[in-house]
Amino acid sequence: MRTPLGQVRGLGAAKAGTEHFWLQRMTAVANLPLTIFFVGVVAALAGSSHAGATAMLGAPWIAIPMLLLTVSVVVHMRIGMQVIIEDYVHDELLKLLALMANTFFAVVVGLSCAFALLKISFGV
Amino acid sequence: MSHMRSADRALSEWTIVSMQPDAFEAATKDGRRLCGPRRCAAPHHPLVPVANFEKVQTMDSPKAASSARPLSPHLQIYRPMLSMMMSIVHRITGAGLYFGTALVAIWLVAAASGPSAFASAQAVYGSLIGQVVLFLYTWTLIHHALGGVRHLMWDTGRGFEPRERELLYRATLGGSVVLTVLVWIVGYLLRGAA
Amino acid sequence: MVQLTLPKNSRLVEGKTWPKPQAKNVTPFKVYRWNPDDGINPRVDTFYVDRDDCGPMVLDGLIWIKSKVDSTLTFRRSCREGICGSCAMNIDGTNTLACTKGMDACASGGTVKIYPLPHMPVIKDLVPDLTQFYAQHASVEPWLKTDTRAPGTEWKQSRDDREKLDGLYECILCACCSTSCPSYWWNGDRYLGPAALLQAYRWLIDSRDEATGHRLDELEDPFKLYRCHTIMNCAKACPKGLNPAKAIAEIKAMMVARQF
Repeated sequence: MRTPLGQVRGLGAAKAGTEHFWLQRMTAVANLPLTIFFVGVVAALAGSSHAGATAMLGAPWIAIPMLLLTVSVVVHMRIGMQVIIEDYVHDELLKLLALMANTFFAVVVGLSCAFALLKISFGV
Repeated sequence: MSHMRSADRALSEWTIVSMQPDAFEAATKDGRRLCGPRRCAAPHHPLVPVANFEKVQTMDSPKAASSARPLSPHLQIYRPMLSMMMSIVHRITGAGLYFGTALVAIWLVAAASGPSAFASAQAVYGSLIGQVVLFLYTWTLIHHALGGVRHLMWDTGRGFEPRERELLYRATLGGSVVLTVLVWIVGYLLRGAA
Repeated sequence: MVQLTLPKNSRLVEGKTWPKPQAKNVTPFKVYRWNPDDGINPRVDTFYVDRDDCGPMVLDGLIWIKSKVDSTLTFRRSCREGICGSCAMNIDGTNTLACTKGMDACASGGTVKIYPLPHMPVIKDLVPDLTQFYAQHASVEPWLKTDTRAPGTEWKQSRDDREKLDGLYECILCACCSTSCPSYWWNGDRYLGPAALLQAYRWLIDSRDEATGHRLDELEDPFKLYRCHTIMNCAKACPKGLNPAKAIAEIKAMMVARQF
């Protein structure tokens, strides 16, 4: 039993949203040149040997942009998937679990890529 | 606002007359009812559906009334348009890339693990199915990237005119296909040269 | 999860085909019907409109049906010239005003298909319950807010500032845009929708208003404003040719601008 205006006002304004919007756009802009670079690297490494691949991926001028791309992509995809979850998952508990799983997935992917790149670079 | 008829300032429990700030604010501040629904002289206010007055008069709760009401058809009947399709494709490609990052992570971890792990990864990714998946992955990436550029344009307030919009949609779609094929041709040429 | 299909009580069942008039020029109308009193699911009825006895617009056809075939057919209408916004409905797959949409402009093979505005509770036939839509409009406080003592005459505005309201003040609150928006379909309880946001922007850029910051504060929310994903259905649906998607983009730009 709430009035329509009460329903619409709901919990008020959450004082958030713009930072999410801005981060999405900033990482999008970063992703553009980094992705072009990444596609170039992958094309160059198609069918290459392990020695050739690690030599290339371990070079600083490849490894550093690859690490930057990892960070930018992981942030971008995490907050992008967050919007999809918020749009479609309406059960409160399920939504919170999905948002957690989203973060876990992003961290696992991000750390795996970063670890692999660093290991290849430092050759340990 | 004194020129308004008092009946126009009527504000009942379930009905909001949205154009009268004075009445609206006064009534919402202290929850006071300015005028009982039965005493409203002008129930046919342009902004108040008549049916809501019926509801007020029978004192139904809005929830009870709307639960019996059907929901009008939406996705089932809305005309599929390129604009709407491109929006949902942007979302689907985004979700695809999300899970696709796992492929990149596996490849990098395999490279970091040693020659045998890397050789197996290369074998899987180099197989026919692997190549098809990677081809689709390339298109997904490029389509999402071009879609992103379109959205960045819109964020600056540009490209909203009907003709500009349609041009952007077509450019995204055509550009993604052309660029994907181009990337694969260059990829194969590089491989042949190596 | 969000329900992409219709709930059980809303699924369409077989409708009635009404008799064809003895006439040369006949246009079939397929019209959504629901009667709160008969306990039957919504259905789609087929009518045949005698075009030689009727005006050219879809609303003319509906009025012809109501007076000549079935007087219980229920729909809202008033001005019949696109300024009151009453006869907004889904015609030929898109939301528009029945009074400004020509029957001949309907593409689906000469048949005019009519449904109520999408994803709304139906009161009867083509009449949706717009209570929440109006409440959303009210929530953006669509009036001039000032603290400075009111001048003896009027609040002054430069020509340039007045021009900023063009393309916004013309909104007739017909709800075509909001009910065309998939984001509004799935999250209409928390997303304000294109109509309310276009109105919010109309007051945000009014040079006379003194509550701009407060208005932006109220929109700083992941759902109220940021469910807009620039799908563009709103801009394509607006029967007044306005562009709610652009207005929302301008609000987002204002939100970013005040952060840095």
